[in-house]
Amino acid sequence: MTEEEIFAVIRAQIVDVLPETAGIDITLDHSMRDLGANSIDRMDVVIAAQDELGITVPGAALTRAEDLRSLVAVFRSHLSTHA
Amino acid sequence: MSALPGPVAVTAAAVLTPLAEDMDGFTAALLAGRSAVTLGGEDTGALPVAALDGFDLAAWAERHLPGEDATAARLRKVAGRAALPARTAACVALRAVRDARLTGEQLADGTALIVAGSNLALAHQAATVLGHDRAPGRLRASYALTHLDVDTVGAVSELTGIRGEGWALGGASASGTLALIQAARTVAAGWAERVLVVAPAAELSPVEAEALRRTGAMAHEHFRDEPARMCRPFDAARQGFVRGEGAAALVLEHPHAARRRGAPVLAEITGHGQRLDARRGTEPDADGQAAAMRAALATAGLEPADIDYVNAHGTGSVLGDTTEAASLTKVFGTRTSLRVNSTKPLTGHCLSAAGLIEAAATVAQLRAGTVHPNVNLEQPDTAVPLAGRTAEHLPLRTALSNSFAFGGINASVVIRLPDPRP
Repeated sequence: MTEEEIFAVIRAQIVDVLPETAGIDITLDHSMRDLGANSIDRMDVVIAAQDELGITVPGAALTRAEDLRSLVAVFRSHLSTHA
Repeated sequence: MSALPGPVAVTAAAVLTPLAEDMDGFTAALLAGRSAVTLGGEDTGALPVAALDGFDLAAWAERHLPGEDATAARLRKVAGRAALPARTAACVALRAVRDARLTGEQLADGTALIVAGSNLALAHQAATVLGHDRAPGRLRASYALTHLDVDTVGAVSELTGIRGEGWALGGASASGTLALIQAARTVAAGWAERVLVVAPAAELSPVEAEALRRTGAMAHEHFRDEPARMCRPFDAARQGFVRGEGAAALVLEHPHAARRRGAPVLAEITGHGQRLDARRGTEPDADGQAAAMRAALATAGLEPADIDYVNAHGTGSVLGDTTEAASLTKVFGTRTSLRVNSTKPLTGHCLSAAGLIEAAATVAQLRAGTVHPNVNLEQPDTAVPLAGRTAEHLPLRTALSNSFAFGGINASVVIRLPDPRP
Protein backbone atom coordinates (compact mmCIF):
# COMPACT_ATOMS: atom_id res chain seq x y z
CA MET A 1 0.00 0.00 0.00
CA THR A 2 1.39 3.39 -0.97
CA GLU A 3 1.86 6.35 1.31
CA GLU A 4 -0.82 8.18 -0.68
CA GLU A 5 -3.34 5.36 -0.18
CA ILE A 6 -2.71 5.24 3.57
CA PHE A 7 -2.98 9.03 3.78
CA ALA A 8 -6.30 8.91 1.91
CA VAL A 9 -7.69 6.52 4.53
CA ILE A 10 -6.53 8.76 7.39
CA ARG A 11 -7.85 11.88 5.68
CA ALA A 12 -11.28 10.30 5.20
CA GLN A 13 -11.44 9.39 8.88
CA ILE A 14 -10.39 12.89 9.92
CA VAL A 15 -13.22 14.40 7.86
CA ASP A 16 -15.62 11.85 9.35
CA VAL A 17 -14.62 12.72 12.91
CA LEU A 18 -14.16 16.46 12.26
CA PRO A 19 -16.69 17.46 9.60
CA GLU A 20 -15.42 21.04 9.79
CA THR A 21 -12.20 19.94 8.05
CA ALA A 22 -14.09 19.00 4.88
CA GLY A 23 -13.20 22.33 3.31
CA ILE A 24 -9.53 22.21 4.32
CA ASP A 25 -6.69 20.92 2.16
CA ILE A 26 -5.30 18.45 4.69
CA THR A 27 -1.59 17.84 4.12
CA LEU A 28 1.04 15.54 5.60
CA ASP A 29 2.46 18.53 7.49
CA HIS A 30 -0.74 19.02 9.50
CA SER A 31 -1.12 17.49 12.92
CA MET A 32 -4.58 16.42 14.02
CA ARG A 33 -4.28 18.91 16.83
CA ASP A 34 -3.81 21.68 14.18
CA LEU A 35 -7.06 20.50 12.63
CA GLY A 36 -8.96 20.93 15.90
CA ALA A 37 -8.95 17.34 17.17
CA ASN A 38 -8.89 16.74 20.91
CA SER A 39 -7.43 13.56 22.40
CA ILE A 40 -10.62 11.52 21.99
CA ASP A 41 -11.07 12.74 18.41
CA ARG A 42 -7.49 11.63 17.68
CA MET A 43 -8.16 8.18 19.11
CA ASP A 44 -11.35 7.89 17.04
CA VAL A 45 -9.40 8.70 13.84
CA VAL A 46 -6.50 6.39 14.62
CA ILE A 47 -8.74 3.45 15.62
CA ALA A 48 -11.06 3.81 12.64
CA ALA A 49 -8.10 4.13 10.23
CA GLN A 50 -6.48 1.00 11.65
CA ASP A 51 -9.75 -0.88 11.27
CA GLU A 52 -9.99 0.28 7.66
CA LEU A 53 -6.38 -0.77 6.99
CA GLY A 54 -6.76 -4.10 8.83
CA ILE A 55 -3.91 -3.46 11.28
CA THR A 56 -3.45 -3.01 15.01
CA VAL A 57 -0.58 -0.76 15.99
CA PRO A 58 0.61 -0.72 19.62
CA GLY A 59 -0.27 2.53 21.38
CA ALA A 60 3.36 3.33 22.17
CA ALA A 61 4.24 3.51 18.46
CA LEU A 62 1.34 5.89 17.86
CA THR A 63 2.10 8.37 20.59
CA ARG A 64 5.37 9.18 18.81
CA ALA A 65 3.49 10.29 15.68
CA GLU A 66 3.41 14.08 15.93
CA ASP A 67 2.08 14.97 12.50
CA LEU A 68 0.18 13.11 9.79
CA ARG A 69 3.42 12.35 7.92
CA SER A 70 4.76 10.36 10.87
CA LEU A 71 1.36 8.68 11.43
CA VAL A 72 1.38 7.52 7.80
CA ALA A 73 4.95 6.27 8.30
CA VAL A 74 3.98 4.28 11.42
CA PHE A 75 1.03 2.67 9.61
CA ARG A 76 3.15 1.99 6.52
CA SER A 77 5.94 0.31 8.45
CA HIS A 78 3.36 -1.75 10.35
CA LEU A 79 1.71 -2.80 7.08
CA SER A 80 5.03 -3.87 5.54
CA THR A 81 6.27 -5.81 8.56
CA HIS A 82 2.91 -7.48 9.19
CA ALA A 83 1.98 -8.11 5.56
CA MET B 1 -43.79 25.76 58.12
CA SER B 2 -40.84 27.71 56.89
CA ALA B 3 -41.08 30.96 54.94
CA LEU B 4 -42.28 30.74 51.36
CA PRO B 5 -39.40 30.52 48.86
CA GLY B 6 -40.78 33.38 46.76
CA PRO B 7 -41.15 33.51 43.00
CA VAL B 8 -38.39 32.61 40.56
CA ALA B 9 -38.52 34.26 37.14
CA VAL B 10 -38.56 32.36 33.86
CA THR B 11 -36.66 34.61 31.45
CA ALA B 12 -36.45 32.30 28.45
CA ALA B 13 -38.05 29.14 27.13
CA ALA B 14 -36.95 27.14 24.11
CA VAL B 15 -38.32 23.94 22.60
CA LEU B 16 -37.35 21.48 19.92
CA THR B 17 -40.25 19.15 19.12
CA PRO B 18 -41.70 17.59 15.98
CA LEU B 19 -44.50 20.20 16.25
CA ALA B 20 -42.22 23.23 16.15
CA GLU B 21 -38.74 24.39 17.07
CA ASP B 22 -39.59 27.81 18.47
CA MET B 23 -42.04 28.99 21.11
CA ASP B 24 -44.33 30.88 18.72
CA GLY B 25 -44.72 27.87 16.46
CA PHE B 26 -45.12 25.59 19.47
CA THR B 27 -47.86 27.81 20.95
CA ALA B 28 -49.71 27.91 17.62
CA ALA B 29 -49.49 24.11 17.23
CA LEU B 30 -50.78 23.53 20.77
CA LEU B 31 -53.71 25.90 20.42
CA ALA B 32 -54.59 24.37 17.05
CA GLY B 33 -54.46 20.92 18.66
CA ARG B 34 -52.01 19.62 16.09
CA SER B 35 -50.60 16.16 16.87
CA ALA B 36 -47.15 15.00 15.79
CA VAL B 37 -47.97 11.33 16.37
CA THR B 38 -47.40 8.97 13.44
CA LEU B 39 -46.89 5.24 13.11
CA GLY B 40 -43.19 4.59 13.53
CA GLY B 41 -42.83 2.28 10.53
CA GLU B 42 -44.66 0.27 7.91
CA ASP B 43 -44.93 -3.10 9.62
CA THR B 44 -48.08 -4.13 11.46
CA GLY B 45 -46.40 -4.12 14.88
CA ALA B 46 -44.86 -0.65 14.56
CA LEU B 47 -45.47 1.51 17.62
CA PRO B 48 -46.86 5.04 17.23
CA VAL B 49 -44.42 7.83 18.06
CA ALA B 50 -44.05 11.60 17.77
CA ALA B 51 -40.46 11.40 16.57
CA LEU B 52 -37.83 14.03 15.82
CA ASP B 53 -37.31 12.35 12.45
CA GLY B 54 -34.89 14.17 10.27
CA PHE B 55 -33.51 16.34 13.08
CA ASP B 56 -30.15 17.54 11.83
CA LEU B 57 -27.96 19.74 13.99
CA ALA B 58 -26.23 21.46 11.07
CA ALA B 59 -29.58 22.27 9.42
CA TRP B 60 -30.92 23.54 12.77
CA ALA B 61 -27.88 25.82 13.02
CA GLU B 62 -28.57 27.20 9.54
CA ARG B 63 -32.15 28.02 10.48
CA HIS B 64 -31.47 29.44 13.94
CA LEU B 65 -28.06 31.06 13.51
CA PRO B 66 -28.24 32.80 10.14
CA GLY B 67 -25.15 34.84 9.41
CA GLU B 68 -23.45 33.58 12.57
CA ASP B 69 -21.02 31.16 11.02
CA ALA B 70 -18.63 31.03 14.00
CA THR B 71 -21.39 30.07 16.48
CA ALA B 72 -22.84 27.55 14.06
CA ALA B 73 -19.39 26.01 13.53
CA ARG B 74 -18.85 25.82 17.29
CA LEU B 75 -22.20 24.09 17.75
CA ARG B 76 -21.30 21.55 15.08
CA LYS B 77 -17.83 20.98 16.51
CA VAL B 78 -18.87 20.66 20.17
CA ALA B 79 -22.05 18.61 19.77
CA GLY B 80 -22.18 17.41 16.18
CA ARG B 81 -20.92 13.90 16.92
CA ALA B 82 -22.64 13.41 20.26
CA ALA B 83 -25.70 11.20 20.69
CA LEU B 84 -29.19 12.61 20.03
CA PRO B 85 -29.81 13.76 23.63
CA ALA B 86 -26.70 15.96 23.73
CA ARG B 87 -27.26 17.24 20.18
CA THR B 88 -30.83 18.34 20.91
CA ALA B 89 -29.86 19.75 24.31
CA ALA B 90 -27.10 21.83 22.73
CA CYS B 91 -29.59 23.41 20.31
CA VAL B 92 -32.28 24.33 22.86
CA ALA B 93 -29.67 25.50 25.38
CA LEU B 94 -28.09 27.83 22.85
CA ARG B 95 -31.54 29.13 21.84
CA ALA B 96 -32.53 29.77 25.47
CA VAL B 97 -29.41 31.66 26.57
CA ARG B 98 -29.57 33.78 23.43
CA ASP B 99 -33.29 34.51 23.90
CA ALA B 100 -32.54 35.41 27.54
CA ARG B 101 -29.88 37.81 26.24
CA LEU B 102 -27.31 36.59 28.73
CA THR B 103 -23.76 37.84 28.32
CA GLY B 104 -20.69 35.63 28.43
CA GLU B 105 -19.84 37.16 31.78
CA GLN B 106 -23.26 36.39 33.27
CA LEU B 107 -23.03 32.80 32.03
CA ALA B 108 -19.49 32.29 33.33
CA ASP B 109 -20.24 33.73 36.75
CA GLY B 110 -23.51 33.15 38.58
CA THR B 111 -25.20 30.64 36.25
CA ALA B 112 -25.72 26.94 37.03
CA LEU B 113 -26.77 24.13 34.69
CA ILE B 114 -29.18 21.29 35.39
CA VAL B 115 -29.76 18.62 32.75
CA ALA B 116 -33.00 16.65 33.16
CA GLY B 117 -32.93 12.89 32.77
CA SER B 118 -30.77 9.84 33.12
CA ASN B 119 -30.10 6.88 30.83
CA LEU B 120 -30.71 9.34 28.03
CA ALA B 121 -28.82 7.79 25.10
CA LEU B 122 -30.33 4.30 25.13
CA ALA B 123 -30.63 3.94 21.34
CA HIS B 124 -27.02 5.06 20.91
CA GLN B 125 -25.93 2.52 23.52
CA ALA B 126 -27.86 -0.33 21.92
CA ALA B 127 -26.60 0.50 18.42
CA THR B 128 -23.01 0.63 19.67
CA VAL B 129 -23.29 -2.72 21.46
CA LEU B 130 -24.78 -4.39 18.36
CA GLY B 131 -22.14 -2.74 16.14
CA HIS B 132 -19.38 -3.92 18.46
CA ASP B 133 -20.67 -7.46 18.19
CA ARG B 134 -20.41 -7.31 14.37
CA ALA B 135 -17.15 -5.33 14.07
CA PRO B 136 -15.25 -4.91 17.37
CA GLY B 137 -12.44 -2.96 15.66
CA ARG B 138 -14.77 -0.10 14.82
CA LEU B 139 -15.65 0.79 18.41
CA ARG B 140 -14.88 4.46 18.84
CA ALA B 141 -12.91 5.64 21.84
CA SER B 142 -15.37 8.51 22.07
CA TYR B 143 -18.11 6.08 23.12
CA ALA B 144 -16.47 6.32 26.56
CA LEU B 145 -17.94 9.81 26.60
CA THR B 146 -21.00 9.65 24.35
CA HIS B 147 -22.79 6.94 26.36
CA LEU B 148 -22.81 9.12 29.48
CA ASP B 149 -25.56 11.56 30.49
CA VAL B 150 -22.85 14.01 31.51
CA ASP B 151 -21.81 14.33 27.88
CA THR B 152 -24.82 16.65 27.69
CA VAL B 153 -23.57 18.60 30.71
CA GLY B 154 -20.16 18.99 29.07
CA ALA B 155 -21.49 19.91 25.63
CA VAL B 156 -23.96 22.49 26.96
CA SER B 157 -21.49 24.06 29.36
CA GLU B 158 -18.84 24.35 26.64
CA LEU B 159 -21.30 25.92 24.21
CA THR B 160 -22.85 28.35 26.67
CA GLY B 161 -19.76 29.05 28.77
CA ILE B 162 -21.58 28.16 32.01
CA ARG B 163 -19.02 27.59 34.78
CA GLY B 164 -21.23 27.40 37.87
CA GLU B 165 -22.63 24.16 39.28
CA GLY B 166 -23.80 21.54 36.80
CA TRP B 167 -25.51 18.17 37.06
CA ALA B 168 -27.66 15.62 35.34
CA LEU B 169 -30.72 14.97 37.50
CA GLY B 170 -32.71 11.81 36.85
CA GLY B 171 -36.26 10.86 37.79
CA ALA B 172 -37.56 8.95 34.75
CA SER B 173 -40.74 10.61 33.41
CA ALA B 174 -40.66 13.22 36.19
CA SER B 175 -37.09 14.32 35.39
CA GLY B 176 -38.05 17.59 33.66
CA THR B 177 -40.22 18.70 36.55
CA LEU B 178 -37.67 17.57 39.16
CA ALA B 179 -34.97 19.55 37.36
CA LEU B 180 -37.24 22.60 37.35
CA ILE B 181 -37.84 22.17 41.09
CA GLN B 182 -34.14 21.89 41.83
CA ALA B 183 -33.42 24.91 39.64
CA ALA B 184 -36.10 26.99 41.40
CA ARG B 185 -34.66 26.00 44.78
CA THR B 186 -31.13 26.79 43.67
CA VAL B 187 -32.15 30.30 42.67
CA ALA B 188 -34.45 30.87 45.66
CA ALA B 189 -31.69 29.80 48.05
CA GLY B 190 -29.22 32.12 46.38
CA TRP B 191 -26.89 29.28 45.39
CA ALA B 192 -26.86 30.76 41.89
CA GLU B 193 -28.32 33.89 40.31
CA ARG B 194 -29.80 31.84 37.54
CA VAL B 195 -30.03 28.28 36.27
CA LEU B 196 -30.25 26.98 32.74
CA VAL B 197 -32.48 23.88 32.90
CA VAL B 198 -32.16 21.67 29.86
CA ALA B 199 -34.16 18.56 29.04
CA PRO B 200 -32.53 16.63 26.18
CA ALA B 201 -34.61 14.48 23.87
CA ALA B 202 -34.64 11.04 25.49
CA GLU B 203 -34.06 8.01 23.31
CA LEU B 204 -35.32 4.48 23.67
CA SER B 205 -33.81 1.53 21.88
CA PRO B 206 -36.26 -0.95 20.35
CA VAL B 207 -35.74 -3.09 23.47
CA GLU B 208 -37.02 -0.54 26.00
CA ALA B 209 -39.88 0.40 23.68
CA GLU B 210 -40.94 -3.25 23.39
CA ALA B 211 -40.59 -3.83 27.14
CA LEU B 212 -42.84 -0.83 27.77
CA ARG B 213 -45.35 -2.20 25.26
CA ARG B 214 -45.30 -5.50 27.13
CA THR B 215 -46.18 -3.75 30.40
CA GLY B 216 -49.48 -2.92 28.71
CA ALA B 217 -48.92 0.81 29.16
CA MET B 218 -48.50 1.71 25.47
CA ALA B 219 -51.17 2.46 22.88
CA HIS B 220 -50.69 0.26 19.82
CA GLU B 221 -53.88 -1.53 18.79
CA HIS B 222 -56.71 0.87 18.04
CA PHE B 223 -56.92 3.86 15.66
CA ARG B 224 -53.86 2.65 13.72
CA ASP B 225 -55.31 4.18 10.55
CA GLU B 226 -55.40 7.55 12.37
CA PRO B 227 -52.27 7.63 14.58
CA ALA B 228 -53.02 11.18 15.79
CA ARG B 229 -56.02 9.72 17.64
CA MET B 230 -54.05 6.98 19.44
CA CYS B 231 -53.04 8.97 22.55
CA ARG B 232 -56.36 9.72 24.34
CA PRO B 233 -55.84 10.94 27.92
CA PHE B 234 -58.95 10.72 30.13
CA ASP B 235 -61.02 9.34 27.22
CA ALA B 236 -63.02 6.14 27.66
CA ALA B 237 -61.33 4.59 24.60
CA ARG B 238 -57.77 5.27 25.81
CA GLN B 239 -55.34 2.36 25.55
CA GLY B 240 -51.97 3.63 26.76
CA PHE B 241 -49.33 6.25 26.11
CA VAL B 242 -47.60 7.16 22.87
CA ARG B 243 -43.90 7.97 22.97
CA GLY B 244 -42.61 11.35 21.85
CA GLU B 245 -39.21 12.91 21.30
CA GLY B 246 -38.51 16.50 22.17
CA ALA B 247 -36.17 18.80 24.05
CA ALA B 248 -36.68 22.00 26.01
CA ALA B 249 -34.66 24.59 27.92
CA LEU B 250 -35.73 27.22 30.43
CA VAL B 251 -33.72 29.97 32.06
CA LEU B 252 -34.72 30.51 35.71
CA GLU B 253 -33.49 33.61 37.39
CA HIS B 254 -33.78 35.50 40.63
CA PRO B 255 -36.41 38.21 40.02
CA HIS B 256 -33.98 40.88 41.24
CA ALA B 257 -31.28 39.65 38.86
CA ALA B 258 -33.79 39.62 35.99
CA ARG B 259 -34.99 43.14 36.84
CA ARG B 260 -31.43 44.41 37.26
CA ARG B 261 -30.50 43.42 33.74
CA GLY B 262 -33.88 44.44 32.29
CA ALA B 263 -34.81 40.93 31.18
CA PRO B 264 -38.46 40.33 30.28
CA VAL B 265 -40.12 37.81 32.64
CA LEU B 266 -42.24 35.26 30.77
CA ALA B 267 -43.65 33.62 33.89
CA GLU B 268 -42.74 32.69 37.45
CA ILE B 269 -42.26 29.42 39.27
CA THR B 270 -43.88 30.07 42.63
CA GLY B 271 -44.27 26.65 44.19
CA HIS B 272 -43.14 23.08 43.87
CA GLY B 273 -43.69 19.76 45.55
CA GLN B 274 -42.33 16.27 45.28
CA ARG B 275 -43.47 13.17 47.12
CA LEU B 276 -42.59 9.47 46.96
CA ASP B 277 -45.06 6.60 47.21
CA ALA B 278 -42.63 4.42 49.19
CA ARG B 279 -43.39 1.72 46.66
CA ARG B 280 -41.20 0.30 43.91
CA GLY B 281 -42.82 -0.31 40.57
CA THR B 282 -44.85 1.17 37.76
CA GLU B 283 -48.23 1.69 39.44
CA PRO B 284 -49.35 5.22 40.23
CA ASP B 285 -50.72 6.27 43.61
CA ALA B 286 -53.39 8.96 44.01
CA ASP B 287 -52.34 9.79 47.57
CA GLY B 288 -48.73 10.49 46.55
CA GLN B 289 -49.90 12.57 43.59
CA ALA B 290 -52.28 14.62 45.73
CA ALA B 291 -49.56 15.10 48.35
CA ALA B 292 -47.16 16.47 45.71
CA MET B 293 -49.81 18.87 44.36
CA ARG B 294 -50.70 20.07 47.87
CA ALA B 295 -47.02 20.60 48.69
CA ALA B 296 -46.66 22.68 45.52
CA LEU B 297 -49.66 24.81 46.48
CA ALA B 298 -48.39 25.21 50.05
CA THR B 299 -44.94 26.44 48.97
CA ALA B 300 -46.67 28.90 46.63
CA GLY B 301 -48.88 30.10 49.49
CA LEU B 302 -51.97 29.24 47.43
CA GLU B 303 -55.28 27.43 47.90
CA PRO B 304 -56.60 24.96 45.34
CA ALA B 305 -59.19 27.60 44.34
CA ASP B 306 -56.32 29.84 43.13
CA ILE B 307 -55.38 27.44 40.34
CA ASP B 308 -56.95 28.24 36.95
CA TYR B 309 -55.41 25.47 34.91
CA VAL B 310 -53.68 22.10 35.38
CA ASN B 311 -51.34 20.59 32.82
CA ALA B 312 -51.91 16.96 33.75
CA HIS B 313 -49.33 14.21 33.49
CA GLY B 314 -52.18 12.57 31.49
CA THR B 315 -50.35 9.94 29.49
CA GLY B 316 -53.39 8.11 28.15
CA SER B 317 -52.56 5.06 30.24
CA VAL B 318 -55.71 3.29 31.45
CA LEU B 319 -54.76 3.11 35.13
CA GLY B 320 -52.57 6.24 35.13
CA ASP B 321 -55.36 8.59 34.02
CA THR B 322 -57.90 7.06 36.42
CA THR B 323 -55.42 7.60 39.25
CA GLU B 324 -54.63 11.18 38.26
CA ALA B 325 -58.35 11.97 37.90
CA ALA B 326 -58.77 10.69 41.47
CA SER B 327 -55.86 12.77 42.81
CA LEU B 328 -57.08 15.90 40.98
CA THR B 329 -60.53 15.41 42.51
CA LYS B 330 -58.98 15.00 45.99
CA VAL B 331 -57.16 18.31 45.62
CA PHE B 332 -59.54 20.43 43.55
CA GLY B 333 -62.96 18.87 44.12
CA THR B 334 -65.32 19.39 41.22
CA ARG B 335 -64.90 23.13 40.69
CA THR B 336 -66.07 23.80 37.13
CA SER B 337 -63.98 26.93 36.56
CA LEU B 338 -60.79 24.82 36.59
CA ARG B 339 -59.44 23.51 33.28
CA VAL B 340 -57.32 20.38 32.89
CA ASN B 341 -55.61 19.18 29.73
CA SER B 342 -52.76 16.94 28.66
CA THR B 343 -50.15 17.99 26.10
CA LYS B 344 -49.14 14.39 25.36
CA PRO B 345 -51.64 13.69 22.51
CA LEU B 346 -49.84 16.47 20.62
CA THR B 347 -46.17 15.96 21.54
CA GLY B 348 -46.27 12.32 22.60
CA HIS B 349 -44.89 11.37 26.00
CA CYS B 350 -41.36 12.80 25.87
CA LEU B 351 -40.36 10.72 28.93
CA SER B 352 -37.62 12.49 30.90
CA ALA B 353 -38.14 15.69 28.89
CA ALA B 354 -41.94 15.69 29.29
CA GLY B 355 -42.02 17.82 32.45
CA LEU B 356 -39.94 20.63 30.97
CA ILE B 357 -41.71 20.58 27.60
CA GLU B 358 -45.03 20.73 29.45
CA ALA B 359 -43.75 23.58 31.63
CA ALA B 360 -43.00 25.42 28.38
CA ALA B 361 -46.49 24.48 27.12
CA THR B 362 -47.97 25.84 30.36
CA VAL B 363 -46.06 29.13 30.01
CA ALA B 364 -47.25 29.33 26.39
CA GLN B 365 -50.92 28.85 27.36
CA LEU B 366 -50.79 31.28 30.29
CA ARG B 367 -49.30 33.93 28.02
CA ALA B 368 -51.86 33.23 25.30
CA GLY B 369 -54.72 33.30 27.83
CA THR B 370 -55.94 30.13 26.18
CA VAL B 371 -55.94 26.45 27.12
CA HIS B 372 -55.12 24.06 24.31
CA PRO B 373 -57.69 21.40 23.43
CA ASN B 374 -57.84 17.79 24.55
CA VAL B 375 -58.10 16.81 20.91
CA ASN B 376 -58.96 13.15 21.44
CA LEU B 377 -61.41 13.56 24.29
CA GLU B 378 -64.52 12.13 22.67
CA GLN B 379 -66.04 10.43 25.71
CA PRO B 380 -64.65 11.72 29.02
CA ASP B 381 -64.05 8.98 31.54
CA THR B 382 -64.03 11.31 34.57
CA ALA B 383 -65.87 14.26 36.11
CA VAL B 384 -62.62 16.29 36.25
CA PRO B 385 -63.23 19.64 34.42
CA LEU B 386 -61.30 18.79 31.27
CA ALA B 387 -60.66 21.23 28.43
CA GLY B 388 -62.78 20.46 25.40
CA ARG B 389 -61.82 19.53 21.87
CA THR B 390 -61.19 23.11 20.79
CA ALA B 391 -58.98 25.78 22.38
CA GLU B 392 -60.70 27.91 25.00
CA HIS B 393 -59.89 31.55 25.75
CA LEU B 394 -59.91 32.13 29.53
CA PRO B 395 -58.53 34.60 32.06
CA LEU B 396 -55.55 32.46 33.11
CA ARG B 397 -53.18 33.52 35.83
CA THR B 398 -51.96 30.50 37.80
CA ALA B 399 -51.29 26.93 36.67
CA LEU B 400 -50.08 23.64 38.07
CA SER B 401 -48.06 21.17 36.01
CA ASN B 402 -47.85 17.51 37.05
CA SER B 403 -45.27 14.82 36.31
CA PHE B 404 -45.30 11.31 37.70
CA ALA B 405 -42.76 8.55 37.21
CA PHE B 406 -42.04 4.88 37.74
CA GLY B 407 -40.48 4.30 41.12
CA GLY B 408 -43.33 6.11 42.87
CA ILE B 409 -42.18 9.65 42.08
CA ASN B 410 -44.75 12.48 42.04
CA ALA B 411 -43.88 16.07 41.22
CA SER B 412 -45.83 19.30 40.70
CA VAL B 413 -44.89 22.89 40.00
CA VAL B 414 -46.91 26.08 40.23
CA ILE B 415 -46.35 28.41 37.27
CA ARG B 416 -48.01 31.82 37.08
CA LEU B 417 -47.92 35.01 35.11
CA PRO B 418 -45.94 37.78 36.84
CA ASP B 419 -47.83 40.56 38.60
CA PRO B 420 -48.55 43.42 36.22
CA ARG B 421 -45.87 46.08 36.66
CA PRO B 422 -47.08 48.95 38.88
